[in-house]
Amino acid sequence: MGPLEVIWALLVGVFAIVGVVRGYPKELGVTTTILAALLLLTKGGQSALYLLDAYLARYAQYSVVFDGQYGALIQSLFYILVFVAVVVISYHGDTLAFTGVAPRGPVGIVLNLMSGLINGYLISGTMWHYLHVFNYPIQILGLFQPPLTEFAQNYLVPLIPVPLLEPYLLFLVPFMIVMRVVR
Amino acid sequence: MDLPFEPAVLQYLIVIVAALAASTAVGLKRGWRGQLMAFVPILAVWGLLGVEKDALVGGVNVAYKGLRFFLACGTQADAGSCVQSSGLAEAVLVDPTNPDQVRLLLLAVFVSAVVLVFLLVMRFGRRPTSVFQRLAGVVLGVANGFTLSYLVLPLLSYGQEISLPVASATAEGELSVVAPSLPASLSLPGASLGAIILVVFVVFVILAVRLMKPIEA
Repeated sequence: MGPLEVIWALLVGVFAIVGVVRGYPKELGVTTTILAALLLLTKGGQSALYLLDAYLARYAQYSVVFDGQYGALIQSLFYILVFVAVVVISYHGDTLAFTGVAPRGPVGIVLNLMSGLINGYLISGTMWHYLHVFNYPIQILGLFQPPLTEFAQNYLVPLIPVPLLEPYLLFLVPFMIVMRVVR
Repeated sequence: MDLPFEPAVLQYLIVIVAALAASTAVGLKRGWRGQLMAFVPILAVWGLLGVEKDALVGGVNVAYKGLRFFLACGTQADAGSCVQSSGLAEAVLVDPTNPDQVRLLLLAVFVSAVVLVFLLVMRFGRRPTSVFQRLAGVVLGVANGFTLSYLVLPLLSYGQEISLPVASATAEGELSVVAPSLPASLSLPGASLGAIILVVFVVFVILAVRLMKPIEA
């Protein structure tokens, strides 16, 4: 596995292409779902993990999620898998898609591209965040060897969306819903 | 001339009447949708000011230092000594320890944001298509006017003279720390990066939705 920023850039690029193909009205619907998922994970993720831990502790007799050997990996995968599941659902069908079509011409293409880039940034950045806060537990699986490159440490980690957007999620989610209703 | 009200009451009345009039006018002209488009950003700005108050004060002071640096030392060959002699490292426009100055800054930013949002909604908002939408806008406008005045009134402080110091102590006593501290103080606070992303994102969404075409049957 190469440097994380290469995978990050590839993911953002792929989502940008998806955005151009699908059109930004659908992409904005995905953005709404992503922001709602982020709000859910940041506000309730820890509580859900405690519930999971309490359930598993009945069988293992110890705190598997928080004290176990693979605790960080389990926590990280929990957040990432829940988030990926929400993203897959949001891309499957129209769900919260805005009603309308993109304008024709270069303006429409630019808006499609930007919405795809935003979604790519949110999706890949969120996954990176949940690897970063648990100190990249996928290295147990041999998928990544730390440390991060200097470029990633200096320029990409500070741009991870979750800590930047967390204080504003309570505004952003209703904002997106209002915009969809107004539309 | 004798005023029929106490000056403080008059000040409050002016704010309430102005907020009610502006909000109702927006509701009348742009309907309930215009009200929604105006009040979501206004409440967001209010929330942001509450959360990012320190960052705002820091940002204003950094901008002030930067401006003074540009004006005073921009053309100087030896910027380091110019910074030292002009006391730039200690200069603040808004003293973070002075609650009155902070409150005045918040009031100025909030009122500017409200005026800007109202102007943008009036300029770019759509006309309501029916009388019912217009009436709903007026009702919502009155309610929002009271909400707006409720948000602004606590920021007022009648009878207190608020002085903004243009400069502060000279740096003579702190010569050793002046030059190293300036570049660090000119960096953006971490939280403001999130705020910038937020603003760019919100503007993008509003623009994108505005440019969206209806689906052709």
